[in-house]
Amino acid sequence: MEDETDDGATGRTIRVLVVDDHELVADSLVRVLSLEDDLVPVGIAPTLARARQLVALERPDVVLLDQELPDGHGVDAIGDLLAAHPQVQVVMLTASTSENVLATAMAAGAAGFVSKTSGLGELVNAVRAASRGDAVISPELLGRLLTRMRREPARLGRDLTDRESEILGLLARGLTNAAIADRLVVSVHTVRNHVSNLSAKLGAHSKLEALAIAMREDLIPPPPA
Amino acid sequence: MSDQSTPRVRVLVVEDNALVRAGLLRALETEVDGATVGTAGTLAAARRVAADLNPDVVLLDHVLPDGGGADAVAELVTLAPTAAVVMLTATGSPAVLRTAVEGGAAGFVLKSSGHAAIFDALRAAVRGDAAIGAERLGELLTRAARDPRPVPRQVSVEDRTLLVLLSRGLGIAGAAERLDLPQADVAERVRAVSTTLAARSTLESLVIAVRGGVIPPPSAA
Repeated sequence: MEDETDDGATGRTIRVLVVDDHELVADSLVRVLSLEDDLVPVGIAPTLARARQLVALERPDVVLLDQELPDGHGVDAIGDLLAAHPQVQVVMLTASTSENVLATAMAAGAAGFVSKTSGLGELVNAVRAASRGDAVISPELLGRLLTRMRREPARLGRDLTDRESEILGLLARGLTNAAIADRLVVSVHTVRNHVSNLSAKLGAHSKLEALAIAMREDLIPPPPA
Repeated sequence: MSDQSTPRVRVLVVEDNALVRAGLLRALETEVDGATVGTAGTLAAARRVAADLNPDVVLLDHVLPDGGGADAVAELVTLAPTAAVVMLTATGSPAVLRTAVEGGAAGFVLKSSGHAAIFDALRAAVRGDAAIGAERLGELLTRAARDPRPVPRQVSVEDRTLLVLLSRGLGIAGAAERLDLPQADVAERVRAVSTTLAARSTLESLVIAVRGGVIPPPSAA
């Protein structure tokens, strides 16, 4: 394990930026990283603003990014950091991570996650793996993410309410908003709201586009018997 | 740094976060000349290492897997009688401070501090100073004044003057300057007063002195 992950022998150094406002943790991380011949801490950023500056200035290979920072959430800055320096690998430093944060960070381009309460070897291996472009995630976190993905397949339209599906079906049969309002015994205004909401959920800009997407995605319920 | 005067200081770090523990160990070895550092992640391990290492100073996290650090201060001071115990606390809550001082703690440092501030506190404790910010010391002593208790023995007028200076956060160096005495003499007198008051640290001496009416709390001074 050690031999496999040790990049020290190649002579390549990995420049690491620590983004954490908790000084004791940040100082300790820098010390721990500097124990390794191939890892070079290039600084500590206690805020996201400072992190953006230091990523641009120091061009680190890996950023260890805390989630809770005085000027915002770490995940929300991943895009900026990657824009400032596209080669950087961002590893989220998370003690306990909600699946939403995991999913948001991955979508924003994070290389992975490592816990602040992990052991020394785990942290160092995470930095090395990220610098190689590998995904960094513990088996436990990966398990949680996969469970979530199985539970909630990311299909378009899966978040439509029953009422919205019903209205989609009526639209597909050519009914106008007024006709739908009559059928469902609600106001035209309410139907218009439903249509607007279901269009937004499908990423459609018009009723027609919503219908086209719904047909493509097989979201039109069959007419009632 | 400035630790050539205290060669081979023995430090015990009690902290359950492995990364923080490793970082402190590395930093202490590098920055505090000749430091011999022991580490523990639990109170059980701390008891063992304290007995073996006989540390000069202990940095003790309050939240540990097998109990509260503040509750273990008295026991650690018994196991390692020369040890000055500095608590690492996230909140500095009055209850934690009180428990720790009554156990003989030498001081406190907030968990939000960086290594530099933590090492300053450890150095202060090794010198025999109350390792606590002047403001927090004032709060602690003001609270102690509401909880009067008799002192074991009478304190001389000279020693009372010394305790008053220390209660205002002057430290041994500041008190020595004020009293126009060598620092080593003042340090020795501080130790003697602690013995008189049956205290295990300068900080505990100050609390006992305020509770016994030997000196006024800082706000009333």
